[in-house]
Amino acid sequence: MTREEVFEKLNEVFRDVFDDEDIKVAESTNADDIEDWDSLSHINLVVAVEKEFGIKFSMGETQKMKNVGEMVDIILERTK
Amino acid sequence: MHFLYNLLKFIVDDFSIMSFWFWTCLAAFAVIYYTVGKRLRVQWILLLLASLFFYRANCSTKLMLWMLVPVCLTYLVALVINNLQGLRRSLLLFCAVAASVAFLVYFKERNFFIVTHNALACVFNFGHWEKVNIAAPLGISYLILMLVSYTLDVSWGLVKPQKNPLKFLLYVIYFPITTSGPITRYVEVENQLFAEHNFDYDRFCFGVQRVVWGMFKKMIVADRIGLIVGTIYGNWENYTGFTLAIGLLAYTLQVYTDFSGCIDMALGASQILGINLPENFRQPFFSSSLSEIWRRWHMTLGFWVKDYILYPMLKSRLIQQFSNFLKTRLGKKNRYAKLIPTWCGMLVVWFTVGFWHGGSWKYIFGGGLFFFIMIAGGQLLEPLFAWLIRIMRIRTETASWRLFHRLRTFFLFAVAVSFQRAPSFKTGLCMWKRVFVEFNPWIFVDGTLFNIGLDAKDFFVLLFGGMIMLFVELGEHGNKAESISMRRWIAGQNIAFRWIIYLGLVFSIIIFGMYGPDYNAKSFIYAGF
Repeated sequence: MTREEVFEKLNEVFRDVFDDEDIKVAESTNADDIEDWDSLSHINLVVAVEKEFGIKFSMGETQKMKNVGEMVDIILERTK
Repeated sequence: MHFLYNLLKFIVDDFSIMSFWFWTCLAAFAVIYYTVGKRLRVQWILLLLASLFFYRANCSTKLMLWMLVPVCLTYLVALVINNLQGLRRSLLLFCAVAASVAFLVYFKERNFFIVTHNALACVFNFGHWEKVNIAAPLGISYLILMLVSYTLDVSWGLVKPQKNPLKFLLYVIYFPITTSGPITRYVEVENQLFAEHNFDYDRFCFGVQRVVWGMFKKMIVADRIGLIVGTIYGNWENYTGFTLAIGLLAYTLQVYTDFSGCIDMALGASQILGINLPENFRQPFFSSSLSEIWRRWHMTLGFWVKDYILYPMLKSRLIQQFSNFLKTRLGKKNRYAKLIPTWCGMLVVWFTVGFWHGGSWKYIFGGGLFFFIMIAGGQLLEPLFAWLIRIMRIRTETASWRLFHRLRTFFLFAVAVSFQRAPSFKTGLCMWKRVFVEFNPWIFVDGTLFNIGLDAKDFFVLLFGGMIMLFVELGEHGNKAESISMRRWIAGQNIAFRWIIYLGLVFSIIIFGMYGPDYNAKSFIYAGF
């Protein structure tokens, strides 16, 4: 899977979790860029991403991810 | 020798963070720390010795040895946990966390189980247990949370275990944080605690300023509000209407100024030694919702419950299966299918937060469940509120609407916190009932305010102190980009203006601070939790 394909899929997940069809995520997108991205929706997002890509984030990764780019790095590593 | 012994005993008799001796010793310690300590590269050892001395000065030897039990256990578990796999690893992790929690419950929350047992005993007619009041090791509530966070962080691969037991002990009993936190994660201080620190004049000044600011909050504002609160809570049967409401709401202001003052002193003391600790408050009373206030109030506790309870719970297989079930039944896009599993996690979190504050229902309700009810209720009724705003044509972008939200948030928060000071949950309810039996707005003009613990002079000192606090908080409020660090702002002014402010603060504490022979400055509210 290419990085662009991961972003395509992630856009769908973000739109679904935050109920906003206009969301388009980039490498640097983080909680400050999306109004409803608080600690509760973060965990819902992590779980939704796990389901979409069939992977599992560790608790350490869940806490450490600082932006979408870091999330994509982990996804690409797991889905190799 | 005899003189030295007597001096040491005198110091040990009163060596709290509010004692004169603490700050005198800290000044002397800072000199040794930055000279001998730096030259011999033993700064962290000096910190450990100072922390052991501080701990022993505020706690008996027996309790200090008790404190070492969970510390040793956690240290050993962290060393071996990553060498294990599968069930053995999970089992050891569970046992280590459970043992630490059991230790906390044994010392701090035992009476909750005794009271619950006695309530059941009344129903099912079996024997009562006597309540037990035992002394707990200093700062045990904070210490256990730090131990649990360390164990989990090591097991999740966020930090490497500390192999040196003395360095680990320093992390756990580092003296600025033992009284009332902040609850510090190992990852936040590991690079600072054991590193060499050069003396930095600016950092030192900022540390001293923060300490003085904390004292200002505690001795000028918090302790004066405490007199009002003490008078009204102590004789609540004699008060009704606004008078009683003032006492009940003022308790939240007392907790804030007392706790944040204590944290300022702790952070300032640590900054003097070159170690930055995490912030615990971010102007909480400017929040527009209860969930926001909890992101700004006792932040280190909030982060702790989020990272170590909420996230693992919501990621657990049980909650995920429940979530899938709801989505199948209610539809994938249904908002309640998303909200209900989250509420399950929040319920546990809020119960834990309340229980941590104290093993009784007044804490569980006032420190936790009330917020769950309000936040979950708010989310449940959100479509109704949105509809009301639409049909009433309320302009939500106006300053007045934001002010209304902030006042409403403060009021709801203060109602919950007021239960924590009441003798019991039931009494708390009775007190709020009495608020509504009389409408007496004239108390604001007929001099009643000067007869509820403070005379006119003290009342105006409190008002003045409160105004200065409000001014500072207004300056520091806002997004990171907009907010002003008042200390940096003051540091950027001309020398004459700077020193007028510094001396003004110091002299206001000396002249108006609440101290003297009858004053017990040791009693920080959050030191009791």
